[in-house]
Amino acid sequence: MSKHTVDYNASQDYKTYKLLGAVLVALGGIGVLGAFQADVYRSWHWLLIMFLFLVSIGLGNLFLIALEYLVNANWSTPIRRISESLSGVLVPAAGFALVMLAFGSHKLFHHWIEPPDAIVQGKVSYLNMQFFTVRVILCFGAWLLFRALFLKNSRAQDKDGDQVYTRNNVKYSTVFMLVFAISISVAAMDWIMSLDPHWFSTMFGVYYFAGTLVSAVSVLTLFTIHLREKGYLPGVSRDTYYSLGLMMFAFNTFWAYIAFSQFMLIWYANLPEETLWFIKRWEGGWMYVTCALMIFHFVLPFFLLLSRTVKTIPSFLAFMARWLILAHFLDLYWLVMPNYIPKEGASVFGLVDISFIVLAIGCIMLWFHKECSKANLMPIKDPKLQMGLEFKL
Amino acid sequence: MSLDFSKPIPLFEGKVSLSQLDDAIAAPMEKPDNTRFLMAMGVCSILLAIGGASLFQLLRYGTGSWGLNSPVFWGWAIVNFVFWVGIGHAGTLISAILFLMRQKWRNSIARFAEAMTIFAVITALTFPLLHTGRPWLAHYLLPYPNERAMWVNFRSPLLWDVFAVSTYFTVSLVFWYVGLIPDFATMRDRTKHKIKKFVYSLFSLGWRHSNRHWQHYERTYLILAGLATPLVLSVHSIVSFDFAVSLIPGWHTTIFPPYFVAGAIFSGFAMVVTVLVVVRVVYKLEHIITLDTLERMNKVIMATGLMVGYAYGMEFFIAWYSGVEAEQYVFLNRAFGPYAWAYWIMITCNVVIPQLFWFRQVRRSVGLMFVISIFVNIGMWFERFVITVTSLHRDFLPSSWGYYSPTIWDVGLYIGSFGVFFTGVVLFARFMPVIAMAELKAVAPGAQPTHHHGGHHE
Repeated sequence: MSKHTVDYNASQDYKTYKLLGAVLVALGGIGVLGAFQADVYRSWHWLLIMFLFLVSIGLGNLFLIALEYLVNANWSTPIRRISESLSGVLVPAAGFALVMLAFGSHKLFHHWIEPPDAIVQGKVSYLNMQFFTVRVILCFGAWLLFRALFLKNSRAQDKDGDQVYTRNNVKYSTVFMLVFAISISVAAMDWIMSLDPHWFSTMFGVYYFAGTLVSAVSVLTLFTIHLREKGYLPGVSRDTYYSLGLMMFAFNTFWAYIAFSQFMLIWYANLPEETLWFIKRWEGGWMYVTCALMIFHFVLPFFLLLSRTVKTIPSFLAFMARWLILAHFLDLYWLVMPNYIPKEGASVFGLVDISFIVLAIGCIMLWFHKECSKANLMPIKDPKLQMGLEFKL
Repeated sequence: MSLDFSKPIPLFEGKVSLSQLDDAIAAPMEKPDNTRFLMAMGVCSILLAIGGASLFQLLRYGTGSWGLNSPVFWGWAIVNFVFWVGIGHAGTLISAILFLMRQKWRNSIARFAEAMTIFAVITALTFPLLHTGRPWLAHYLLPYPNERAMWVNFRSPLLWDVFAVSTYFTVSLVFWYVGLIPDFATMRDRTKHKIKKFVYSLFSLGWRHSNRHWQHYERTYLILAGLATPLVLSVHSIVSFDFAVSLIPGWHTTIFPPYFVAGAIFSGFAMVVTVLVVVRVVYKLEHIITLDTLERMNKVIMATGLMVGYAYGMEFFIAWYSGVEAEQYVFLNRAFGPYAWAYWIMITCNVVIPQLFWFRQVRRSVGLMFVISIFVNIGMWFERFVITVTSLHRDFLPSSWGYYSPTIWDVGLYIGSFGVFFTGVVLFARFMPVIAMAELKAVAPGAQPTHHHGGHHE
C-alpha cells in the first residue's frame, strides 16, 4: 500500500458529530433558557464561562496552527485540519460575545459600568463600554481574519500542492503570534480580570493563555483519537498520540507553574488589594472548589500522564483529554463565578449549570462538522505531510 | 534561496562520513594550536588578575568598598549574579528541553552550551557568596543540625536560591558528564599518549561502546533530561522570587517568574551565539555547526526577546491600571528619572535591536548575529541593573532617596567574573571534545537503520 497518496474522500460524512451536536445544542439551549428564567445574574456568568471556553478551544487551535508553521513542525501536519476545523468555534463565540455586549454587560460588568468608586474612576479611560466594545471587535476581527488567511492557503494547497501557500502561512504566523500575544491578554483582562476591577495581576494574560493551551490540545487529542480509531486518518501512526499526550502534560504543568507563581507571590506579599481576589476564592465554600482545582487540574493529571507508555494508549489518552477539558471548565468557573454574589443560600453549583457545558460541547461538534465538510480531512498535498506520516518516535 | 518544506533541513553541510566527524571534532585536542591557546589564556589571566585585585580589596575592607549605601543595598553584585545565572540557562534548555522535543539540530551545540552553563553558574555563585560579607561562613547557608544551634530561614527566597542553584548546578554537571563518557572513551581509543590515555580511561569509566552500555546510557540521558527540564524554569523563577515576594514597587509583580525565565533563555542563547560564532571558525567546524543551526538559535533569541518585551509592556500597563500611586511612580521614574539612560539602553538592546532578526539575511549573517548577540548581553545586564537599582534608589520617604554608583572595585570584580567564565571556556575548548561526537553521529546521514527515502515506490 502506498502511503503517498492519501485518498480521503471529502464526501464521507460525520453524521455522528452533526446529530449528536444538534441534540446537545438543543438540550443545552433549553436548559440555558430555563436557567435564565431561574436566575438572570447567575446565568450571564455561566454564559461568560461558556463563551470563554469556546474562545479557548477556537483561539487555542488557531495558535497551534500558527505554531506548526512557525517552528516548521511536521508531526502535526496530518492532523492540522482538525485544528483548522476546531478554530471555527470562534464564530459562535463571536456571536455569544455580541449577545453579552448587547444584553448582559450590565449584569456582568456593573462594577465599572455603574457607580464607579474612586479606584475604578481612575481606570474609566480603559474600562468603559465604548472602548470595551472596540477591543472586542478588534480581537475577534483579528482572530477571524488570520483564521481565514490560514485556511485559505491551507485549502488552496490541496489542489496543486504549491509550497508558496506554506510560505505565506509561515509569514502570517509570525505576525499572528504578535497579535495573539496582545489580543489574548486583552481578552483575559477584559472578560475576566475586569469582573473585579479593583484587582490586578501582570500574570493574568499568561494564566488564561496556559489554560487555553491545555484545553485546546485536549480537544484536538480527543477528535484525533476518535477520527483515527474510526479509520478517517489513514497513515497517522499512534506515535502521534505520544506527541499529543506530551503536549497535554507539558502545557498542563506550565499552567500549574503559572497558577502557583501567581498565587505564591500574592500570598507572600500579602497586600490587601491583591489578596482579596484569592480570599474570595477561599471563603464561603470556595475553599473546596479551589482545592478541587489544584487536585483535579494538576496533581492527578500530572501523575496519570507522566508515564511514556500511557501516552500511546488511545482509550486512556481520550479519557485524560476529557478530564482536562472538564478541568478547564472548572478553572473558568473558579475564575468567573466568585464575582457573582449569590442570593442567600444559593448553591455553589446547580444541576442546571450543566446545560451550559452541554451547549458548549454541542457547539464545538456542530461547527467542527460544518468546517470539516468544506475540505479534505487531511492536507493532502501539504509538502510536510509525508514527513508527518513517517513520523516515528 | 528558499526552503523546501518537503525535506528536513540538513544538519550538516556537504557529505560527511562518521570518521570525518570524529576527526574534525578531535583535531583541536590532537593537533592543538598552542600559541592561540596561550594567547587566550593570557587574556583570561589579565581579567582574572583584575578580579583578583578587586577581591583582595573586598576581603580586606569588606563590602564597604563597593558602591552600596542607603537606600541601595543591592548593587552590582546582585546584578552580576542574576546576569550570570541567566547566561547559564541556555545549556540546559538546549540539552534537556530541546532533547525532549526531538530537535536534532541541538546535538551540534549541546555540549558547548552545557559547558558554558557550568562555568556561568560557577561564576554566578561567587557573587552572593561575596555579598554575604563573610564568604568563609558559607556553610551557614546549608540546613543541617549543627553545634551552633543555628538554623536557616526557610521562609527566605534567598535560601531557596541556595537550593535551586545548587540543584541546578549538580544536575547540569551530571548531565554534562554523562554525555561526555562515550566521547572520553573515543578519545581514549584514539590517543597514543600514555598520560592522556590514562586520564581519558579514568573519566570514561570503562566504557566499551557495547550495546548494553548504550541502552543504559540512553535511558539515563532521557531521565536526566526529564529531571533537568523543570530546573530550567525553577532556577530563574526562584531568582525572580528574590525580588517579587517583597513589597517593593517595581519588584512585586506576578509576571516575574516566566518573565525572568524568558530573559534568562534570551541572554543564555545570546552568549552561546557570541562564543560559538568564534569557536566554529577557529576550530573549522562550520560544516557541523551550520548556518541553519545558528539561524534557529537567532529565532529563539528573537522569540524570547519579544516575550521580555511583552513583560515590559505588561508591567507598565498594569502599573497604570492598578491605580497604585507608588507603582505608577516607579515605572515613570524608570523611564524618565535619573536612571532613564539605563532604561533606554535596556529597551534599545533587548527590544529594538533584536527586531533585525525578522530578516532572514540578518539571521544568517555571522557578523551581524555576533554584534546583535553582544547587544543582547549588554541589554540583559542593564535589565537586571534597572530592576535592582531603580526600585531601591527612591524609597517611600523622599528623605531616603539617593543615587547609586559603583566603585572601581565593583567594576573590577565584574571584569574578573569574565575571567573566571572564559578561563573555564578556553580550558574546556582545549582539552575536551567541544561537540558531542556520539550524539552527532547518531543523527548523521545513514546512521538510522530504519530510515527510508520517500518518493521511489511509484
